[in-house]
Amino acid sequence: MRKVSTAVGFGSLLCAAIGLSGCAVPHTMQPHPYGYHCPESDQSATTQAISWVGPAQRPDTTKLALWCQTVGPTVVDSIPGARLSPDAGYDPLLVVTWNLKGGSGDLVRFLHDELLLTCNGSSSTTGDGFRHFVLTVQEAYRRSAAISPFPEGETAPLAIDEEPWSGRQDIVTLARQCGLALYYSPSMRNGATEFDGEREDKGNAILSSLPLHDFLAIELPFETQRRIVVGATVRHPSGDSLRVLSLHLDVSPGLWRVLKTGNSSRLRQALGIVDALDQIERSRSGRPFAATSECQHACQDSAGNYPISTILTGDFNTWTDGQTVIRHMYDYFPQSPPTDGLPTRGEFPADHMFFRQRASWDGDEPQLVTGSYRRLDQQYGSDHKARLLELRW
Amino acid sequence: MTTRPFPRRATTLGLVLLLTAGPASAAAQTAGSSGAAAVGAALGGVAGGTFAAVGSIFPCTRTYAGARCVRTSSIMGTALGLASGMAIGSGNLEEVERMASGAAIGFAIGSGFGLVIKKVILYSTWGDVLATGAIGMAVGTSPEGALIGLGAGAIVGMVAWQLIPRFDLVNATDATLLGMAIGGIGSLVLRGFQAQAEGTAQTVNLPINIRF
Repeated sequence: MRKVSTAVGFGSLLCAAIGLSGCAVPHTMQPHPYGYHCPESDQSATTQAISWVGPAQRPDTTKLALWCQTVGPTVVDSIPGARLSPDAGYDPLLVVTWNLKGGSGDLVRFLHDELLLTCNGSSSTTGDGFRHFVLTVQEAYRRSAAISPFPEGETAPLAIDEEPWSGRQDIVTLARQCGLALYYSPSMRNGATEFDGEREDKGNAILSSLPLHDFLAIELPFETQRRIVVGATVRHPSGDSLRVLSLHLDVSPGLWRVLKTGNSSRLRQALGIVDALDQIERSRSGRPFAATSECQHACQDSAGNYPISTILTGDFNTWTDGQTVIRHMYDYFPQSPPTDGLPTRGEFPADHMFFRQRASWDGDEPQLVTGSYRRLDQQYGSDHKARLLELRW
Repeated sequence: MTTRPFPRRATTLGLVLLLTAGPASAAAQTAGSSGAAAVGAALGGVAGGTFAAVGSIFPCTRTYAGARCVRTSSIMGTALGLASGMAIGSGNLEEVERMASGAAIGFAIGSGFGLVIKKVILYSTWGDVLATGAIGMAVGTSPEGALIGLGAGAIVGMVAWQLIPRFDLVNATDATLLGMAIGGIGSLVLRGFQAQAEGTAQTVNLPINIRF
């Protein structure tokens, strides 16, 4: 009896020690084979080369595969539909990030008031002082008949809770209405409701007044929901490129995972992005892929430089500026502007932008314009305020 | 590429065993009460680890260390709770019974609350039910300290929220949970000392001899 109670006691103790000790969960990122696309029925993948990178380990892969089959195809309009101010020049280039909250955000008014673009299809016009821009958005939705019916018996992600208004339009329609280039890769369904044979999915997108190239889709390590980071590059007339990424991290996993991982879910996802960029940059610089830990987080060349200037933007779902994930991102994006502490969603500073320069050998890499990083004051119907910065070559 | 940003679980386990080896050997030497000491240690360890994890989550998420900070707190909380629970068990059998019944009631209430959450919140799992049960168990093991700490933390947090501009509602929540953790663990430690004072004096074979 004594031995039994001792065993029970220490068994409980060990369970508690292991379960409640804040064990961060490791992740392994790897590029998907050439030709991979999600969902498998996505025919657009045959016309646009998209580099996919995602976790390599179970259970992430099995969960992501299930979620992947519920979304519609990726949309790529690499060339803007309108010829927007060819004389405006690229300097400075505006990079803006905004969580649209589905159809709540009035994107047309936002573009008009903040970026001086009047949407009118291929005849869209620009106002005085217009600057070319790349706009990354989160919680964009798309309605399409190409999205498969939701499997019976499965639980669909909830639709974004929106205030109904007459101007609600999906991201593909809006981008074409405004003559912008678009890259949209859905992360998950926007509810299971059908609308006359059409269904909705949601995710991150990049809209641009300049042509977009080199499309990336990074599936993040699975925490609560499938999350896709979309990335594309814009090219300066000098030939230099800027990679822009749009991300949306999970809000929070369940209580068990919070305790078990020491609340490191968002850090795990963010480091997944850093590792995915490593994979891509190493493969393109001629260095071999290696499933080893020799080059963890942000591979640099021997001089400590990155091969392409990159800006990581989006909704990190942070409630303070000093959170672990933010502190770590400054390590991998050393030229990032300092945080200003201003809230972008309610009282929380959820949205951020991080920047790193490529190796400088000719002095024409993009530079962050000092003091340009700021929050825009109007929400335009969304529950988030946008953030903006300027880059100059 | 495999990424392991933090030490492995074996390190944690090793540290827990190292920190608790002294008290454990002391309990084993206490003839006739090792069962009660083990149960007390188990309850105290679970409660201390849970309190420490819950109390440190928010403050640690504001640090660079993040999960490592939570882990360190949990190890310390587990070790403190284990030593205190063992001291309670070896000194006062009635107190261990009270701890056990409180833990059972707390677990039932906590997991019941977890079941409600599981019904309401999408993607909730049985693990979440277990986690709310564990928190309830911790509070039930050390109810007075946890509730007093919770109340004190909430009052301090709310007052600071009103008076200090940069102290926001999240900080107030931090203070509330931290208060609960400190109160819960503090109460366990005090009860451990009290139980030893009331019971037969015993020798604990640590590197330094401590006589209660």
